[in-house]
Amino acid sequence: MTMTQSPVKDAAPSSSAAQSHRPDDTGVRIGRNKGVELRESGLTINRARKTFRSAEGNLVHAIDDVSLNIEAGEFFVLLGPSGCGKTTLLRSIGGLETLDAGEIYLGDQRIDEMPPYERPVNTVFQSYALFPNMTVEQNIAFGLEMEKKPKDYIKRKTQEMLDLVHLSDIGKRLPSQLSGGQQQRVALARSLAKSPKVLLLDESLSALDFKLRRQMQVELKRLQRETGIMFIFVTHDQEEALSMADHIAVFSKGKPEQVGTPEEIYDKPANRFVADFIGDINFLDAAVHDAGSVEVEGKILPVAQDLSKYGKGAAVSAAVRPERITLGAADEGGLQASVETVTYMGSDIRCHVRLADGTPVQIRVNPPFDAALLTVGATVSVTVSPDHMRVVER
Amino acid sequence: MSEQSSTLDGQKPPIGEAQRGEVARPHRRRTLFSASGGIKPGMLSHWYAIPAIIVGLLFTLGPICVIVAFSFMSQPDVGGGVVYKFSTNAYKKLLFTTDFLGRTSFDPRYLKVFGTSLWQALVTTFICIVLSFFIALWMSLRKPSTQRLLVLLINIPFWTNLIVRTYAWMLILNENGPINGFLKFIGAGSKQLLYTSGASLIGLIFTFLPFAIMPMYSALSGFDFRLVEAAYDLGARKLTVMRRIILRAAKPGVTSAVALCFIPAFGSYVQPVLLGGGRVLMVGNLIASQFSEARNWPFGAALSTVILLITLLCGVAASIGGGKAARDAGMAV
Amino acid sequence: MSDNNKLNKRPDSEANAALNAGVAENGETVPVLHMEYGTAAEFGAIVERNIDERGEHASAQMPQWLEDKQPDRALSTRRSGRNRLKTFPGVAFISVLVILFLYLPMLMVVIFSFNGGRQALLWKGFSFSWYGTVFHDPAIISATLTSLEVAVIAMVLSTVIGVLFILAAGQMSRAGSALAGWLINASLIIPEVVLGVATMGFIRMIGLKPGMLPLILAHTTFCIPFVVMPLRARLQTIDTSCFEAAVDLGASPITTVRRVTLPLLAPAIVSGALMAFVISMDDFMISNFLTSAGTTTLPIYIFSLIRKGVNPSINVVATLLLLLAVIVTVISSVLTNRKDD
Repeated sequence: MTMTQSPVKDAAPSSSAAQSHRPDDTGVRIGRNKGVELRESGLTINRARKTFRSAEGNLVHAIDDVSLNIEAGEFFVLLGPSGCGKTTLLRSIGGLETLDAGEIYLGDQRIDEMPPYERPVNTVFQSYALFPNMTVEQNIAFGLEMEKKPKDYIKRKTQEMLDLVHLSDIGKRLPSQLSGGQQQRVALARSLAKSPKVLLLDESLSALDFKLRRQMQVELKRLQRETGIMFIFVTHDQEEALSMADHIAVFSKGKPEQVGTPEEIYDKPANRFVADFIGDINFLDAAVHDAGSVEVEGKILPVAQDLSKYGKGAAVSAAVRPERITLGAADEGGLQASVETVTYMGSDIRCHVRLADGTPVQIRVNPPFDAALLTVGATVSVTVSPDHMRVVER
Repeated sequence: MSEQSSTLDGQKPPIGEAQRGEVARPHRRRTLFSASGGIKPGMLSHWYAIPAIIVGLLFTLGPICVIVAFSFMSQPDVGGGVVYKFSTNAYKKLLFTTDFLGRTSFDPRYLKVFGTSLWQALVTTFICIVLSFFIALWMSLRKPSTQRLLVLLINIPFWTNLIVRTYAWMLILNENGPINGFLKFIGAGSKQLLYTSGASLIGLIFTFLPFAIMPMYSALSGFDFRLVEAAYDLGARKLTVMRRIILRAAKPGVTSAVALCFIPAFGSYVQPVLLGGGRVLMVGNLIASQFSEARNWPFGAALSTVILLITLLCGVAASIGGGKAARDAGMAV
Repeated sequence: MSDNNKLNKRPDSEANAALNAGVAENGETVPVLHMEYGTAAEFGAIVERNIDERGEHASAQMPQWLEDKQPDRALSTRRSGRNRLKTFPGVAFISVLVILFLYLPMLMVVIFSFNGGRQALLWKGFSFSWYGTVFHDPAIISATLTSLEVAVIAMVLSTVIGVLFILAAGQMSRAGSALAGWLINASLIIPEVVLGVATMGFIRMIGLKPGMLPLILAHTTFCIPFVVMPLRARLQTIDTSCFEAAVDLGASPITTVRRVTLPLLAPAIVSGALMAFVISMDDFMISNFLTSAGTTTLPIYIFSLIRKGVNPSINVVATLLLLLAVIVTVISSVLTNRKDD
């Protein structure tokens, strides 16, 4: 199927050998594509591409020249709207899709040319994909049987896995007799039983109802911490991503738009897409004043961001989260705005104000708050600290 | 982190000459036999389809070719079989007769056989479709468990031996059977019921009714009866609902029912023989006799070829009409 | 419905013979329907009629007892049993007639199989005697054995070939698998007489003699579509990620087929095999052109018995064949309706 012979197989065929020696300092090896820096462990995706032909005959770049590094033992989330290529990338890592170009390395072992059944990577499917004809125990034991592990080992490991996901007493049941949450746990246990280096989770919580989903998020995080296995989790739910991830890659149209910690993604979005996709945000029209400040509505506002890549006077947007805005009395010196609606939401108060130039801004205020200020029609002052303002392209 | 953000800053690893959209790795070549891409998980390589294809080629396509070839060959002087000599006599015989003086004249005998077959098949198809529409509608309105039971009830005759089913009507229609018994009882005297074209027709309807009910039921059971409620809500009366909403939904079922009833009924053999008792001569009987008593294989082959052509036309019409009917009914094709 | 303020704005007391007077909070007289009727639907109809008669200014007030009234029965349309909107004139009547039409002849066969008389068509009292006769008739036994032999071999062959085909079809190009599908299903559409004489001609052509081998080959051919049909339907209902999961968990392609695909297809395989068996057991037309003297199948033997003059043992054999159809249909229906997954 593939043209190039993997050099890794010749150099370091077994994983133990791979661990015993580091790749040389330049990260360049003979026969390997230049510029790929490989680590002892962790997943490296190098310039991966995958193109589909759509039903209309157009080429769709599901994965468009993607390079990513994912550290061993981290909880990594691929986040993006549906159809952005995140699932294709996941399936390529698992071996269920073949890349058109590029490589995937696990440690310094090239895995993208291996058949899926030889990869030390396992997947938890969106639909769980439990074998309906096997009991829970048989499902969990399946992967171990494929490794030709001894019988008593399989038995012990299966029980261990059932305990791990708190399902010790339902091993003899069929998947159809389980609830959605239980099926989810069995699918997890089945994949984890093989002690993979990487666990891939494809929108695994999307079929669960809200409450169960919250519970499973905590559970997944616990399992990941306890097992120390690298989890790569695909989701379109940004809250899920923020709450679980060590690092998030925000995908759009087959490319990662930004890779970073949840805090970075939320507070320092790299571009307008990321800012808009994650959480609620206000975009205020702004012009670059100098490398450290922008002009919004005639006021010069400092930002904690280097703006030298934009020219002076360039039209940009200042992105501000609703909860990072401070409201004050009209004479407090911020941007002048009039209050349009005030909605009491229990944990916070949401209000919409309109700036002098007509830009609507939503603000979230924690109670208690000065009731006189938050009356419809009142004029207020809106201020944002430099740290909480993010300049992105308009 | 620095590595992870490297993609953002445009410092892509300097590798690969692959251009955007270019397929760097060759796909497996696509042929008529094999699709591109590998074997789907849990499935087998396309090579495993070969036994089925060989069987189909040998025992379906092979015989068809042979019978078409036979129809253009000559009859031996004695006995059955064919002589490998090109001839169109078999087809001439369909419409013309040659007397011993060598004069050819138009001969409607065999055309009449086709007419009988066509008539019997059309009446069978029509009655089967009307009846199947009613019972399929009734079935699809029962609760799911009753529906399953009814499908089972319709399936049993379908899987019952054809000879047995035909024989059952001999029991009913014969001169000592229950119908004649009843007629005698009321003093109407016994009537010749068996060995008539009507008996043959009843046998055909009885045989092909399950063939019509099943597709009709599958068309109607997938029908969203909320449409009926919507029609009532908009002021439609029952008959309007049946005509404008339900009949429309049954269209794909009608098309496949036509295909499943008409073609086999046209070529039927057992019912005309056992129930028609020689009084009804259909194309199927004519063909069979050419290969047995009459021993005119080329003529039998020519008759078969004509039936095959009709079958092909019906098949094409049904697949076109079926697709159209399904689209009309707003279903995915 | 009982919005008094609205009603007060349009007093219309003259044309209301059928209406009682009701008094609203402010003392004005407003029209109120006197209700003696049962259901809200009927109430709605009266309101409608009222509007028709008196123009748009008419309105009515729902009496308290009706507002408090619980529905007489569940208003759900799920149980379609007695929903009047879903009954259509003549449908139930015709349906019952159709079922009688399908089953009365069969019932006749079963009843007459217990006939004690010497004539097949004349009832002479209840007896099992013809069952004994049939079970000891060497010709019937030999024809049954021939039929069973052909049916079992054809069933096994067609099931194996059909299963292999359905698993491989997805790896063929779309046009290729459509062509192969046509090739396989053609025997389903072609009239049996034509297929019979054509197969006979073909068998002659390749130098085979009528007998067991041509019978088995022809039966295998026309059984394959019946095997493929339930398999295709079943495959569509299986979540393909199950197969991906097996491969992902380390099963090789062949192991995946053996451990996951085949067990998941098992009900359809059994049901298809049963269908193939019955279809082969039932075939008269095609076998008729392929048998030799020593390989008479059961349907051919019954046909010849019927033509020779009706004999009571036919009733018994027919009943047994009917029983076979019932058993197979029930098993196959249970297998396809199983709700375990």
